Amino acid sequence: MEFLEDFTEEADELLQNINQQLLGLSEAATSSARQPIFQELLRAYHTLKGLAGMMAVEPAVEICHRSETLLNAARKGQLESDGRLVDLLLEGSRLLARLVHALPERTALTEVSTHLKRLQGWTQPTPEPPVATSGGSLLEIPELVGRHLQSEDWHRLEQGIRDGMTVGLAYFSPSPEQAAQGVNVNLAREVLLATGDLIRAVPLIEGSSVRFAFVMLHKTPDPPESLAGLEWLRLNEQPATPAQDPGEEPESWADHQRSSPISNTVRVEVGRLDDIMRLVGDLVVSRWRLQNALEESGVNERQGAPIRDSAMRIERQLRDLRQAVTRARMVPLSEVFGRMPLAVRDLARSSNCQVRLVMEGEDTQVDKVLVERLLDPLLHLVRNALAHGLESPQEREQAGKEPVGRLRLAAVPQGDSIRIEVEDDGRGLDLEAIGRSAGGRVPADAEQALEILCRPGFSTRLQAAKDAGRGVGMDVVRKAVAEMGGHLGLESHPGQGCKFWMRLPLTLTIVDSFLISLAGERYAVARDAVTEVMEVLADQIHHHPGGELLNWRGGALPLLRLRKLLGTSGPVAEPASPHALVYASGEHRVALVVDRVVGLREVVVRPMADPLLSRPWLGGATELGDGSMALILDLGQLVRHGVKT
Amino acid sequence: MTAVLVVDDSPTMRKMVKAALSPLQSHFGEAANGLEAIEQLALQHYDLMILDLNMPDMHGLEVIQYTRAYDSYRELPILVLTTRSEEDTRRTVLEAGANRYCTKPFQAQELLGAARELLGHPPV
Repeated sequence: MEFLEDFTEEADELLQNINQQLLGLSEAATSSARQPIFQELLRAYHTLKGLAGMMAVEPAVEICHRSETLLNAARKGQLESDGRLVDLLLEGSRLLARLVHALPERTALTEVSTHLKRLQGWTQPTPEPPVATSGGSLLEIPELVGRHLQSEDWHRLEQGIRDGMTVGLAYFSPSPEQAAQGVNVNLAREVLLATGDLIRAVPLIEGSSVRFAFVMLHKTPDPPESLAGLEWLRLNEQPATPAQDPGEEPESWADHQRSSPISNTVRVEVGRLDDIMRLVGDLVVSRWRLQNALEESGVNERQGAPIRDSAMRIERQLRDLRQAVTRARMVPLSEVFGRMPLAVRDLARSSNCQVRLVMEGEDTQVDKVLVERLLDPLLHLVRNALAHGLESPQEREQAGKEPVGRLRLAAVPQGDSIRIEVEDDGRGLDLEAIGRSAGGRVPADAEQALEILCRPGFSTRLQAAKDAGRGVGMDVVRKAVAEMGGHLGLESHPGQGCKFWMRLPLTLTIVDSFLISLAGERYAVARDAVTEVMEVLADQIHHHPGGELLNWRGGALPLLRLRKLLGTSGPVAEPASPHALVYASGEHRVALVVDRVVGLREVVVRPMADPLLSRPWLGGATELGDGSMALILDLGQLVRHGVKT
Repeated sequence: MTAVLVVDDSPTMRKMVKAALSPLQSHFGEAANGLEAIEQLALQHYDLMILDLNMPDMHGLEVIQYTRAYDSYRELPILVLTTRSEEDTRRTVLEAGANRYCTKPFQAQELLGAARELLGHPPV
């Protein structure tokens, strides 16, 4: 379906924004603080409604529409915007997320109709309170701008002044030169938004040129960062503030770009970056060919020197290029950390504890793929911390602790890996209980305890004795961490808390692979090199002096035996009718006999760090999640050159 | 070559509109809000504006009012493209000076036909 990917991505972003705004709404104390949140929410729902309409997801359109209606009433004060309303809308947002992701399957959700009824039957609006009318006489806003302000704008300005805020007026004049440098009205608005709330933006058209006036409310009377084409005026004078140093050079555009939170970003699918990375890989191979051709050409040392120098330079540049592409895949961890406040809020409610969430290092850049895979294990650990680690407020007070527990999520970069910590100040692990539930010895330390917690099925035993300790599905967490090429660890201090940590590589290369078994060992083979998988019967094979041929679609394919190529002969005998992979490179095809094709899965490629172990036909190694390793075979190398050890 | 300005706060929606109008072989400009739209109009010549209504900071209706209030943009054809729930605003929008009113979800052919008419191309 066209646009499906764009739709899910934008919808996810909108929903995440909706969730954040809803949380902000429940925390906003004053009506003036709530207004911008309402606007942002209404806009997000509206955009989502439009998109859902284009994709013909009618239930989502309905939910958005009715949520908008409620929010509009709440914005006008006709409806209480309390925690209950926020909860209702959060529930709707969860349903919307499911609808968005179920799109390819078009799942019918019965909950949707229940939710729609709740949205519709929500408290009837109370009569509209009289809106304070205002001439705005105390404000020195020019008539040219002022006549475009609505009564609600005047209302917000007055309220802001009562709250001790400053009214500011800024003008921005766009020009083609500035536009070419990326300085446009959006940037001007972002710069201004960093200093306060935007009440209204008014375009002033003069002949064929245009100027924008921004009416602002500032918390502090400091002017915004300077930007070419932007003038700033303060309207309601506050007590004197230190004058700006007139000698100071206005910040250049380049400086501004460095210090400003806005970035000129382009969205790129990870798949496209993978394509670029593959091309870089091809270039590396081409460079080696060049090097080899040079060695074999018989050119003498002196004549060959400039070519050799160029080849060396290309090698360095290729390495830089590869690093640059790797960096392009990096996104801030906040993409996954940002989802935690909502999860914690829900979990705290259901597990009867109070918790303060502290997050550190969410700006750390990690691979996009890692961020996606990190969400589930992280949620698991957070859930465990709230379900098993943190005590109820009463229990905490009896233990002499603050009633509100503390949950800390931290990301600490360590060289080319990152350590992600989930720490609570709860009761810590009960080693005895863990030993008892496992029906064995009491673990000597946290490391041994983790071993027990990560045994498959351990959680089910714990369900019976819910307060015995941690361990809901820890085996799943450890498996996910291992599959990312990482390591899971644990520290615990009885009565003081518990810390789970995951050490993960910063970058990941992921390849869709066939897992095969061969003489009792498992190997992985990149899927895109394989065009077909088949079972080979003995009577399909013809023996020739030059080798073996396989009957295949009326023709014959050269047949190679992987056991022979790799020189392995393990304890397991080759099955009577083994599997074969058809490998194609250009017009050239061969059938490779393996014992069994076990399955298809994505594997994380770990480069072979030890030069003694690396071979041209080894593409790396991967961890299979059960603790065992599999070598990744480069079929192209194997077929072309055989095994040179 | 004609130039078309697509104004919508959703990047996906802008992409959908551009895809629907691709047979026009126009140059496409984009704006994510009303302010940016007016800036674009001041910086570059456009033959047609496809305009969403509900956008941050400046409503599409205001964009129409502004463009119609000034000589330089009075003749610019405006096609308003908005969600069904705003059907009741059709009259307001047309009275303010929009040339056409289409609703989301739109059919590519329908949008293309409307755009062709506004650009003065005979409908195919």
